[in-house]
Amino acid sequence: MIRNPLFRALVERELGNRFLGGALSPVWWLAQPLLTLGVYALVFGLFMRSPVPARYGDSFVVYLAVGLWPWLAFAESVTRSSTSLIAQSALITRTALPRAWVPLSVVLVTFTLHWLALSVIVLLFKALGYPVHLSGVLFSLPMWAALLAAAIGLGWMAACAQVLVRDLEGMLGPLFMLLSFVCGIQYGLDSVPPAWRDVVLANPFTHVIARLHDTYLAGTGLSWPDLWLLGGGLLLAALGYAFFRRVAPHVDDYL
Amino acid sequence: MSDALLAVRGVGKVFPRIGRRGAGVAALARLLVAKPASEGFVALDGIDFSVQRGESLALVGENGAGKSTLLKIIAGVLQPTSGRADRLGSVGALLELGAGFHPEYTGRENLKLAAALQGLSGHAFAARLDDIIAFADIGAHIDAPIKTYSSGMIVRLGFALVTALKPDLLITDEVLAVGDESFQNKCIAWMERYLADGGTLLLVSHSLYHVKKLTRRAVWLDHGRQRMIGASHDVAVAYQAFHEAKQASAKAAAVASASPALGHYAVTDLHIEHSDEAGLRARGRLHSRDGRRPHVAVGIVRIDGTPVYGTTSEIDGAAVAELGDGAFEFVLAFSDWRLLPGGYRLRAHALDPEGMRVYDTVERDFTVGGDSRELGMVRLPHRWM
Repeated sequence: MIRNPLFRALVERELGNRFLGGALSPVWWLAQPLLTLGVYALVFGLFMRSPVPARYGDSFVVYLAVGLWPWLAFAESVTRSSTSLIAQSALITRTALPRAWVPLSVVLVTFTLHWLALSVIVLLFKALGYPVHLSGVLFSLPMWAALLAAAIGLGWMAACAQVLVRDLEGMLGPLFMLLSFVCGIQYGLDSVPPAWRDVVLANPFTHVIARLHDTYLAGTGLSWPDLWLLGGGLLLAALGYAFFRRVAPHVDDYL
Repeated sequence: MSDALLAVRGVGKVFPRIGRRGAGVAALARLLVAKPASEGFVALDGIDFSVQRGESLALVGENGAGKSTLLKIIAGVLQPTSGRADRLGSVGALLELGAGFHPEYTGRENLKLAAALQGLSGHAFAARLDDIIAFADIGAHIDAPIKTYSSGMIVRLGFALVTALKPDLLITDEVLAVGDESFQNKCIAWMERYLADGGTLLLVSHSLYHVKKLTRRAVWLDHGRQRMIGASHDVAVAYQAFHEAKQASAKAAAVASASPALGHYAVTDLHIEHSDEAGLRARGRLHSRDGRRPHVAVGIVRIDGTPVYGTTSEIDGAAVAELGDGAFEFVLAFSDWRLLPGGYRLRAHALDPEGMRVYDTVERDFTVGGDSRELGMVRLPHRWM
C-alpha cells in the first residue's frame, strides 16, 4: 500500500494541505508543539514546580518534551482523522478512492512530522548538554508504533462516527486533554497521590509514556512490556478497521 | 457474465433522511450491525441491465431520475442498498464537474492525484502528461489553481485525462453539457474514435441528439425505476414523446387555470408531423390571453444552437387560424430544404399581434438522416466549371 501511487499521492496531498495557505504554515508543525511545550513548562515547571523522577534527570522541559510530542502526535492524529472523511467528501463521494486511506494518510503524516520534530529536539537537547539518550530515538520506536497503531484504529472509528454523529469532534478535545493529564506527561508518577495511583496506572497510555521516558531519558533498551503495549495498539487498529469496514461504505448517504 | 463488461442486477438505492446535525448514534449502531437504511428516499429500485464489451449505452431521464446515482454505483463510488453491479476491466469515470480536483491546487498538480485515482501513475503518467495538457488546451492556466478555472476549463481537464486512460469502460455524466462548441465537437470525435476502437461507453446526457449519435442502446430511468430499455433511437423517441406530452399537459393546465406564468401569448403545442431529408411539416397551437391574434416565429437551429433559418408569420404576411377561446393554430411546411445530415431543433415562439415581442418558446428535436459527406449545414446549389 505504501508503494501504491494513489496512496502516495494522497499522502503528498495531505502533506501539501498542511503547508498550504498561511505564511507560517511551513513551520507550524514544529512551532505548535514548541508553543504547547512552552506553556506546559511555564505552568507545570515554573509555577507548580512539578518534580521530575530522579532516574530521568533534573530537567522538567526535557521530561515534558519526550512525553508530550508522541502524545500530541496521537491526539492530533485522531482529532484530524475525525473530520477527514467530511473534509474529503468531494473526493470520496465522486471517485472510487479507498476510503480507509483518507484517515490513514492523515495519521501517517501527523506522526511523521511529530517524530521528526522530536528527533530534532532531542538532538538539540543533547547538543545543549541536557540529559537525553540518543539511543532513545531508536528504542522508543515500538512505543511510537503502539501509539501510531492506536491512532490509526481510533482515527478510522472517529472518521466514520463523525459523519453520523457530528458532535464527536467537539468531545475529542476535552477527552484527550483529560487523558493527557492522567498519563504522567506533565508530572512524574511518583507525585500522584497513592489513592489515585491505580487509576492513573489503569490508563494504558500511562505505560506508553513511561516507556518513552525510560528510553529517551534513562537510556533503557527494549523490554517485554513494549510487546504488550504494541499488541494493544495493533488490537485497536484491527478493531478500528473492522468498525470502518462496516460503516464507511455507507457514509455517502450521510455526507 | 459471458462478454458482459458490466452487469447491473436488481440494483436499488435508498438514501436515509438526515438532519443538519447528522444522523445520530442510532444510525451508527444500525450500520455497525450491518443494517443499511431501508427507509428514506428511494433513488433507485430494481435496475437490471448489462453492457457488452464494445457496446455503447445511454441513461436518459429527468433530473432526479437516479441517473447519476446509478453511475456512481457502477463506478464503485456508492454502495447499492440492494442488488449488485459487477464490472470487468478498467473503468474511467467522469462523474461530476471537477470530481477529485482540489480548488487550491493547480491543474497540473490536480492531474497527478486524479490520474492516480484512475490508475495512471509514475512513468506512464509522466509520458502522457504532455498529451493530456495538449488535449485540455487551456494554455498557461494549467499552472494556476483550479479555483480560478471556469467550469468549461475544469471539464476540459477532466476529459483530457480520460483520453489518456482509454479505459475498457468509459462512464461520463453530462460531460458534453459543459464546455464550448469546439471542445464538445472534439470530445464527440474522441468518443466516436474510442467506440470505433472497441471501447465501451456508458453515457448520461439530456441531449437526445448525443444519445442517438453516440450510443446504440439506452435505458430510460423514471423516478428511480427502469421505464424502458432498447435501441437508443426508440428510447429517445419515447422519452421525447413523454416530454412533449408532459409539457403539453402542463401548458393545457396553465391555459385552463389562466395561470399568469403562461404570459399573454404562449405556444401550447408543437408537433413535428413529418421530417426527412426533403423537408418538415410542423403543427402548433398558440394561446392568446386577450383573444387578439398572435404571430408565431419558427426557427431551425443545429443541435448545438447554431441558427440555420428563421421566419415569422408576420414577415411572411400569414395569419394563424383562430380556433376559439383564445386558441390559434398554425401549420408550417418546409420543402426541398437541403439540410445536411445531423441533429436539428425546431423552435416556435409566440409573438404579440404586432410581431415585435417574444413571449414563449417551445422546442422539438429532430434528425435529418442520410450519408452525405458534404460539410456544413445546408447543401448550396453549385456546379463545377
